[in-house]
Amino acid sequence: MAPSAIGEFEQLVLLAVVRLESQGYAVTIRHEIEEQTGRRVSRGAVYMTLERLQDKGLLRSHLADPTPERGGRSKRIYAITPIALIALRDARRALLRMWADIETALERV
Amino acid sequence: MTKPLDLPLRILEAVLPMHAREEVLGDLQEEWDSVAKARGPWLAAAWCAAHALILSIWFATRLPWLQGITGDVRAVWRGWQHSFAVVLTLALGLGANTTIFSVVNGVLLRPLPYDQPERLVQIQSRQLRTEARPVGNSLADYLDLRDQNRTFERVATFTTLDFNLPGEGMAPLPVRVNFASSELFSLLGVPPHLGRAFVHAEERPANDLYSVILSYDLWRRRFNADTATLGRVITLDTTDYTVVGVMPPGFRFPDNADAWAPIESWFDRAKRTMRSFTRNARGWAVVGRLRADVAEPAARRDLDSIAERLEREYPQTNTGVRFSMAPLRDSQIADIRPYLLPLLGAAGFVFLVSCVNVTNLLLARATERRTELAVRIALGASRNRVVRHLVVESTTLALLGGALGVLVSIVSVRALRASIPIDLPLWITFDLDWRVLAYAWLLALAVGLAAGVVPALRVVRQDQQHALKEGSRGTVGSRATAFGRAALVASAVAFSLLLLVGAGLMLRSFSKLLRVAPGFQPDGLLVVYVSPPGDRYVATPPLPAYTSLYQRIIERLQSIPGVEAAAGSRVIPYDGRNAIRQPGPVTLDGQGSSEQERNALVRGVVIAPDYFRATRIPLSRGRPFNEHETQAHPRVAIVNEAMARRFWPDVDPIGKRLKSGNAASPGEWFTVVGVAGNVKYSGLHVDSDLTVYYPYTQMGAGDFHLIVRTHGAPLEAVSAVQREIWAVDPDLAIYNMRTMTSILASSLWQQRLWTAVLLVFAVIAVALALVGIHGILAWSIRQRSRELGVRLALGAPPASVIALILGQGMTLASVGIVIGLMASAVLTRTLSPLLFGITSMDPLTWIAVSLTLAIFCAVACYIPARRAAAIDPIAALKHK
Repeated sequence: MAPSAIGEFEQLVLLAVVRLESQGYAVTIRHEIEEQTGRRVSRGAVYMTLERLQDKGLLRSHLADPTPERGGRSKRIYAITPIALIALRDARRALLRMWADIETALERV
Repeated sequence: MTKPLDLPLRILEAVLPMHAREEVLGDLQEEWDSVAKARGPWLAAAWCAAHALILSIWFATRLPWLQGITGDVRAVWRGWQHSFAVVLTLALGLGANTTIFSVVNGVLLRPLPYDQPERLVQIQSRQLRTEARPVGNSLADYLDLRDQNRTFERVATFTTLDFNLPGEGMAPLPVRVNFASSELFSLLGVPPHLGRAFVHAEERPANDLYSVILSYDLWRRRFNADTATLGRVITLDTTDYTVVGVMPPGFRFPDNADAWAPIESWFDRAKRTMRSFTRNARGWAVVGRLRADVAEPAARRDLDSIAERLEREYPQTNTGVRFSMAPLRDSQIADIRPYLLPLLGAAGFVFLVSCVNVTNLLLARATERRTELAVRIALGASRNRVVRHLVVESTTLALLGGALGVLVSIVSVRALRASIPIDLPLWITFDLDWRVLAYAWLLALAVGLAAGVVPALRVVRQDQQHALKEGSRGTVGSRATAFGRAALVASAVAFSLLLLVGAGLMLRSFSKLLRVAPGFQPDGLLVVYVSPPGDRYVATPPLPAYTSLYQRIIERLQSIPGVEAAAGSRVIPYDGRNAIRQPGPVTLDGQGSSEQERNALVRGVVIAPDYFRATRIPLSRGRPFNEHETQAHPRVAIVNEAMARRFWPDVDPIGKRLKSGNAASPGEWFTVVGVAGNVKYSGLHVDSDLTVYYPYTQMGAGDFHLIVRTHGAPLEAVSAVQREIWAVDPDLAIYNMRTMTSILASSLWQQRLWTAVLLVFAVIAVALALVGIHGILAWSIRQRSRELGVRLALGAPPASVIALILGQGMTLASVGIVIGLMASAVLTRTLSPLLFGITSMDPLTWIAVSLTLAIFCAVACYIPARRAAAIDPIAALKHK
């Protein structure tokens, strides 16, 4: 199955999942994005995106054991799928190609 | 540690999809935990609630069914021009309707603030032989009525008089005291807020002091709502009373009383008993409470049999006198009531016009979008989805229109209340209450659903193939739709013509009323009402106490610089109280009683000598009164021209003699010394009463209207007038000082206000109808742009296109006007009782109104017609 094109925010979420070594859940994923990009991210957007990425087959998830500090509720841990890795690689490549030779030009503007 | 707030989490849980609950709620709890550790439990709770709600909204907007509706609502927003037109149209229609409904609610629907008010009736006497309006009752008749009836639980009598309430170091306060028999409070079934009501024993007070009950308002204003007021002794004029109770807020029976005192206290002041009053003095209001098991007809029969018995026993005074009975509410709203039905009707028509327009707008939109919807259905959108879309769209518009309409009516009810003077009983309040609100929203919803469902069903039922083909040819809209829309527009024109005719009639009647010559010159007159303490200035006898009081006051008033003349009169024109001071019979020397002989009642007016000079009422014959005509001199009178013509048509009235009352009444004979011009005492809209003037130096005067004619603006003299009056008697309360012009203006408030309201309605309706005509033409031009383009391309002159469109529009307009005229012929009859000087079929109004509307319609047609003539044929042919 060919990976579908991924949007910018989707990329950020996928990268955060990768950075968290497939141990991330919504709270930590959001923190990771906020920390690395310095921008505020709404919880709702994160949940929506996580759900969409699962639907696209780019993420899979499982429920961890319930913990007391979560009021006895479980975390949903997200892990990256092979297709997502391909999609990320493609996206990176495409971007790098587009960036090639113009980074210095942009610096000058 | 506190737990996160429960409710927001519950809400969130409810909107979360099943598979996300565990995760999202757990995450929130976890984050709350860390926030609580960092910032404390309270902030954390707030944080958690806020985020739960934000997330709820996030997820709620993703719910599939809600997502559809939000999309539909967004669609409403996208077509904002159209939506704006619909919402505004609805708001105007609803606003007009809700406003008038609030008035109707306040006047007709809201129960009187008494216990079981539907059983309360007002009982009046009426003379069978004359056509005079029913009047009050005599006290002796009341006593018989109270003791002999078998159908009333209780019967009470009362009268309202003006008093001065002197206060330590304060200006005397004018108060309206209602003298009532002790039954009144138990009859009304309203317990006092503080203290007690009257008991039957009040008739003989134990400590020589009668009781008084204060209104809540007076208690607050004058006694600072101090509970120690109970038991205090207060002085009304010069008589002391003990305060025994305070009525609840809003209780001002019969309309705006400040205090209530036992009726016996009033007789004591006059050194009389109830029985000692003649049965001819019918000035007392009587109210009764029907027994629960008695129907109205039985009560009427009971009253009739009592009246017949009294007629046999007292033929002198009671021949032909019967009791009439009406619901208490009716008697209090008699003046305003005739206006309400036409107004409610008018508001209804405004609403109809706005509904017609809204339907039209929605239909137009639906037909224009038929192709779009057909494409959607063809591409697989479910029909339900499409219907829901249309219904949601129109309901949203209706609700928005309803909300705006409620706003419009809040503002206009306020404006209306501000423009109504205090003539109305105080229990009448025009507030928007839940009933009015519910009514507005229900109407809005009904319109929305009706206007939304009809086009929705049409779209779904239609043959999609056909619609697609039609769309491609650019002739969207079936014949039936076009006809339906045309009918709607014609009916809007008809309704607005109807309203315009109504408003035109009222306007013309009002302008006629304003042009009526009142018989005197109102501008430049200041009127001051004084009611001196009766016990200090006893009226009869000795007369001179009042006379010298007024003589001194008038002398001082005349000496004020800038005052041209000062006088006084017991009756002034257009005064609301004139209705109470009914004209009575007079007896002509050698001709018998005017009432029996000529079926005529005469208004007696007691005046000070300079009255004619101050008011500039012309004397056509004879002479005015002078100060020297006292009780020691032969009695003199001046009659008005109407009276002279009626009683002495062919002879000179000067020197003729008359007396007040029946032939049998003991009064003295007055010799006519002059004839004065006619004055419209009872209001501009009624013919001048037959009037006879008596000098106050011979008749005496209790309360008096002091009349001052000034050279400059009358209100500039106010403080000087007050100073001079108080120089004579500092305890004299001065009741509302007004200019005669303002009295005149406020006597016309009903005509003025309701004419204005009707005019506003008519303008709204006409504007809506014109928008409708314009809209349908613009729509039909869009539909026919290809055809019109072909015509123009083939060489048709633009003028012919203009004529074509104009003809199409004006056909609609004329159909509407003709139907409107027919409807007006029937419906404006309800206005007849309100019109002055014209009939409801006044030809001038009808022609002027039809022409005006036709011209406006022509303009509304011309604008799209010109646009049609300017169509670029090439662009039109390429279009679609």
